Amino acid sequence: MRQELNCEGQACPFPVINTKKAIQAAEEKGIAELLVIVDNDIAKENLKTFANFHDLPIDITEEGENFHVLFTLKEGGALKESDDAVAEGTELASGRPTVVISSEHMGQGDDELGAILIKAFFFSLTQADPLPERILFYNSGVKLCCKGSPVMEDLKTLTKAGVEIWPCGTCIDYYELEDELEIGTLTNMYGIVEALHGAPKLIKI
Amino acid sequence: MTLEPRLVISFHSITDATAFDVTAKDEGFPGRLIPKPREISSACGTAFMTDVELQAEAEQFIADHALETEGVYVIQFRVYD
Repeated sequence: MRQELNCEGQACPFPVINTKKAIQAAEEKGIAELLVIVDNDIAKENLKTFANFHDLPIDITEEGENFHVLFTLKEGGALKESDDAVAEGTELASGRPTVVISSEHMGQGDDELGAILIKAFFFSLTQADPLPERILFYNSGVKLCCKGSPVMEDLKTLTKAGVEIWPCGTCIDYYELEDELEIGTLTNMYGIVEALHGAPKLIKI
Repeated sequence: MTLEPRLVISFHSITDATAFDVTAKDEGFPGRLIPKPREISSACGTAFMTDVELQAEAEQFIADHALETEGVYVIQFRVYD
């Protein structure tokens, strides 16, 4: 018997966490195969890591923009006992923080000072070690990802260094900045919540 | 990531730093304001960063425009290519 788990739209580590839960539930029901559907490369690779860790055979096929990862489960329990969530793939491997930018200015009070501070913050962030895993932008913070942004040079540096830039799509729409977006991959509130849930550390500005 | 040198000009006050930045923009002198690096001072402050090759031009620029500065330094920064 085969069971299906649809993880489309989920950012890591949630596809792996949900797969682990589904396999544990499937063991109790005697299910032989679990088909997991994901829509991004990172999730697919993390499922491979998870399968290798637990010695589970998998078969991966591309279906349109999705990946179908078919797990063949073992009789009598498929999963090993694990106290290493990073190796298992159920926790973000980098341990790097997520930064949350909720305004185009830094802090409350004088906006002119806040604009100076946000520029200083992003330059300093390029010098940080470790760099953050990703930066979430919402409300007026999304303006920093658009043309004319005072921190664009630093955002480009951070992108080059592998930092993910995630502006909120609803906020871009609200401020009518669709044609002005210059950097980053639009996300939605599900993506924001999953990123906040999965982050080992959060820095909110 | 590599460490690369940059020329950093420090100031006694944010007013001097802003005046330098405005003059630099008006005159086309390249560079930007950054937080004052820890190597210069542990105190809060703002500095101007430009290419290390422009040290002579920077000192001439300061003199020509009678700009108030605190010091000129060469500092290593993390750069990503």
